[in-house]
Amino acid sequence: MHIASSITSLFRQRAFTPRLLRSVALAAALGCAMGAAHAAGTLRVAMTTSDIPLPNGQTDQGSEGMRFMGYTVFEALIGFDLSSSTKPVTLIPALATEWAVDPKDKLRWVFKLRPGVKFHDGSAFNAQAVVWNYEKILNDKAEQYDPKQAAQGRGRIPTVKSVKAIDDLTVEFTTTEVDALLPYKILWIVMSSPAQWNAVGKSWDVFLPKASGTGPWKLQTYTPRERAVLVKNTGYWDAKRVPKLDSMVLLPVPDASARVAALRSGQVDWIETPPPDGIESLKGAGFNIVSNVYPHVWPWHLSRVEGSPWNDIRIRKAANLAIDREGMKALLGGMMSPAKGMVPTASAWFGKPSFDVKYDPAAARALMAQAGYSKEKPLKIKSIISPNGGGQMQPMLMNELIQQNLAEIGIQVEFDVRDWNALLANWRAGAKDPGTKGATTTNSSYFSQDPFTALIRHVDSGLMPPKGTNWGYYSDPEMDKIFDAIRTEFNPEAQTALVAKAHEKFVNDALFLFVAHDVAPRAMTKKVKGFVPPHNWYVDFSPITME
Amino acid sequence: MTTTIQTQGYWSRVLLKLARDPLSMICLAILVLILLGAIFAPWLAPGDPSVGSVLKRLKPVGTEGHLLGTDELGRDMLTRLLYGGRTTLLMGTVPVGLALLIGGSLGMLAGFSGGRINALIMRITDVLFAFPSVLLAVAIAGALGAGLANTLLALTIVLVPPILRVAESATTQVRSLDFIEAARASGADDFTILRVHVLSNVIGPVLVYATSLLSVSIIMAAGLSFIGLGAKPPIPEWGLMLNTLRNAIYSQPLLAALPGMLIFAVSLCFNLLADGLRSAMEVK
Amino acid sequence: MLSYFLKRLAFALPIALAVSALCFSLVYLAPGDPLSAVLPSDASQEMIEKVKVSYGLDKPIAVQYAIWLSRALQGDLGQSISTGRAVASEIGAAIGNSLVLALLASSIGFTLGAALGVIGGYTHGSKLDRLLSAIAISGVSIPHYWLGIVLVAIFSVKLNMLPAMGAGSSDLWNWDRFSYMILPAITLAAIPTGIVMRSVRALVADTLNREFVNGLVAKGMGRRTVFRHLVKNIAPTALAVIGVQLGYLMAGSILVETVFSWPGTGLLLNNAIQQRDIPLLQGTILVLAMFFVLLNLLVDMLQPLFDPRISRS
Repeated sequence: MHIASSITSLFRQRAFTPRLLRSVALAAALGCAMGAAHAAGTLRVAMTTSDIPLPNGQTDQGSEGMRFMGYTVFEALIGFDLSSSTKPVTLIPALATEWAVDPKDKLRWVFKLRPGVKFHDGSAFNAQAVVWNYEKILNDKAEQYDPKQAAQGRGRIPTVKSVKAIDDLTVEFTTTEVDALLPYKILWIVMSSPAQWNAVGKSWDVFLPKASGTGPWKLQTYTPRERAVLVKNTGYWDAKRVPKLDSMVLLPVPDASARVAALRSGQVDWIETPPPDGIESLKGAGFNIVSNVYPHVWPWHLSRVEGSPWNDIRIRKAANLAIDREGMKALLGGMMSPAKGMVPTASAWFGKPSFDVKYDPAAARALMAQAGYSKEKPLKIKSIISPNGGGQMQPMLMNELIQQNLAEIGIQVEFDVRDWNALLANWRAGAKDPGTKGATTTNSSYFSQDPFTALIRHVDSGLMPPKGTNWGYYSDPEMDKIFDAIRTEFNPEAQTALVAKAHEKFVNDALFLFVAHDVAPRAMTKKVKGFVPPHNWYVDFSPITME
Repeated sequence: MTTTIQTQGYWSRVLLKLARDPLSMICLAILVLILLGAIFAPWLAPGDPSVGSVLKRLKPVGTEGHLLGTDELGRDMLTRLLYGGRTTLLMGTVPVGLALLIGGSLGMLAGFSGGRINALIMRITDVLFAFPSVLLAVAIAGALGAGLANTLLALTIVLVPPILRVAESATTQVRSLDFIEAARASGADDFTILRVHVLSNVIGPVLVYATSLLSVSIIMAAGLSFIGLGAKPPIPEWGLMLNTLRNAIYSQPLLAALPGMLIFAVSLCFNLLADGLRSAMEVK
Repeated sequence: MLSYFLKRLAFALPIALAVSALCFSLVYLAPGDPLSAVLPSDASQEMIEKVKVSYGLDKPIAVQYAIWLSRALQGDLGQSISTGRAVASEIGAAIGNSLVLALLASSIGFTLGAALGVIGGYTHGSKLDRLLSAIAISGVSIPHYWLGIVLVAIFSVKLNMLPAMGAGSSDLWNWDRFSYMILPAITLAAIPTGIVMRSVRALVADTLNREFVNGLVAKGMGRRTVFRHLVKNIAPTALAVIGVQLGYLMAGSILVETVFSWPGTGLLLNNAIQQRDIPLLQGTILVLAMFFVLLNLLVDMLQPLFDPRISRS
């Protein structure tokens, strides 16, 4: 019996040994100072997730999981250049050194792999490993197929048809359709070590505590729900990005006030998403608040299945005009940027939509009246929200404000509050899933780094669940036509113009309730040095030092 | 447990003694005040509990126009606390009332009938008793999901067994007394005996016991909301307010402490009053 | 004596069985059909079929219960929806933390409660007694989740003396590890301190009034002898009270563990609730309830050893 054995092991482990005596003496020598126990060069981070992101490779816990576990221990063929806090983030070679589409057959891509890269277990990274890793997600007949990683990764690469090793360092990708955006998708899929998986007995569960990737950090300790310790990978292939720190401790602390308390009591050095009410007092207490805008949008994703009130454009527009985004910004201590679409207005993809997303409750009420609703005779809807989660900003506060704003124009909102991972599971399952339980909006925040993640994946009629994440089952042939054009346009400027056209339509038709762009606030002690906040959801922990 | 026949005279003496206990009276006054505030919230409250301006959020206690400040969404704190009292007191007291009704009658039935019916009822009670109360409440509310009705149901189920046991043992003691035999001999039917003789003797101890559960019930109700199982936003409820105001504890400590202080005050007053009542009942 | 043990055991077995049945029924209490309660919403058809068969969901409910129980007895409590890990291993990782915390909290509660109770009982009716009673009644009235928040604000944030959350990382029993436990244990100890103190105080006051104590004093026995008699009289009850309290603390620590992010079964329950992870909820409740049943059994069985009067009655 598992439980009984762990209780006995608990007592065995705590037996009074000379080792214990020594450590007591040592602690006494150090003056029992709290925090004296952690080594210099250790960064202790409080994440917002409720569990340690799974160290299997294609991790869970949304983008925060990728930030702390996905792109630290593991890597993809393509990476982000996260070295600057002023330049827009671009794609750079990672485990692949170069890639290109076959000019004769635009369905075929060739990737050249980086030579001499080793997994943490010492095995070689090569073309076979790449194929093996794609199979773990795409081929449910493969022995290494992992439904959990497939659930996370499959939706990221809907156009990948097959992956083939040409030679030891060359891989060929075949796509189902012409897809100029493929590199943006490839960067999501990270490489776990096939040799390690075989060595641990071909089990993903056993792989977790012994995870092995190629990234700049190695997993040292994995205690589910409690902590993960990452140590620097001195043998990392890019000498410039070998971590300066010795180790990094990751703690899951979903409760915002517990995160603040942990930071203020000196228990951690860095917290993700400090609550807005804590920001001013944290600054006052001598902590650094670091933030930077990045391609991200916090919307309400609307259901367009039959019977959903959001099929009426007047209601969609009314809701967009009802939200007091400036008020919300004040609510968040300035830590947001009001959204007028899926991407910030400064983006080349924003275009020139005719519908101006702003706060105009009178116009909103007029539209609602046309649709037959008012404050006295309100439209009642159910909305899925989450109390926390990576990129979710301050979902409870923001949603309560939205609830108040919408009540003013005659939309009465009932919340269905779900854990972040549960919300994401439903987001992948789609609005028609019985688990949606009558809700017509969901509230997942979206990374909008590229045209696919920013626009296409949400509303392409070919990406309805389970194939993709068109949660609301939106379908419009005109939109699909623009998307097809984007996918087959390899000229960057022409592609940008097409994306802007799609975005204009997105805004003019008020396809989502556009609310906010995040600025990724984090709070840290003054001891944390060398951190560069890039315009990205992901960050590079390698240059960080602790004073 | 007193087994003497309790007369009208006994109860008026108990109340008189209680009325002479200053601590009990202070508690009673505080409770009545909070209860009146909750009942008349729509007339007393200066604002609307669900409307606020985010530009005026987290104003400290004593702000002009907002006597007790404003919460994290700029809603008037006094208003929220008054309305919140409605929810919390409702969630805390209704289950005790329901459990008194259900547990009291089932306990009397079990004690009065004895035999198989007693065994059946008491064994089921034993099973529920095998769960620690908080765990049982969390189990039921957790499986049903958040919501006021679910919380009421969960707390009622938790509170029935202890009340049932007290009612059963009181009834069993009364049943064996001579005057019941006498009533039976004089031709009274079971129902009459239950209603007239048993009820009047059992209701005292059961009622007193139930008052001592009010405090526990309030704390559990607010606790369930605190972990997201009870009231859902934007319904004002003290436990939920305590949770959402936690983030402001460093910038507005007094404001953040208000809902917790009220839960504490109500629970303490209920406990002291129950204590006072118990010692007042020791009069002979 | 033996017949008392057997009788007590015979009473506990059906209770344990009924408790397990109640835990089993939680899946049916959850809204929606039981299948959706035990599976993630993005479960594959294959997984659905597998679970259907292994849970026996196509069979009558009694059979389902039998299947479920036999699996539970073998340590298989199903899989967590949110993490996919075995529920038994999730509980196994957490229960030690809860137990350590509950043991520390009940030790504090017992020591402090007994000490204050004895003082209160000896000085029955005095000003000191009333003050101590006020402390005791505050202990049982305070919403302990709120007390925890206040303690963190003072001792972790203001004074920087103790960690605010988590259980630390040390595998050794040193100060660092212990420091993480102090605030949650004190918070958790508020209720048992109050309860132990109230019962000990009443017992002491009552015993001191009894004739045999007066007799002892009349016989010229010293205060120390009287005190020894007092302890003999009170210890069984006090131990029984704290024994049951230990169970309450184990099972009722969900709020305190949430406030302190303490990685025990309470936090596990909280996660199960937030994530609507019914298998995890069900498994944790079952283990905690069984712990409580066993603990009650143990307390009942130990009590006659301290107090032989019980087995005779």
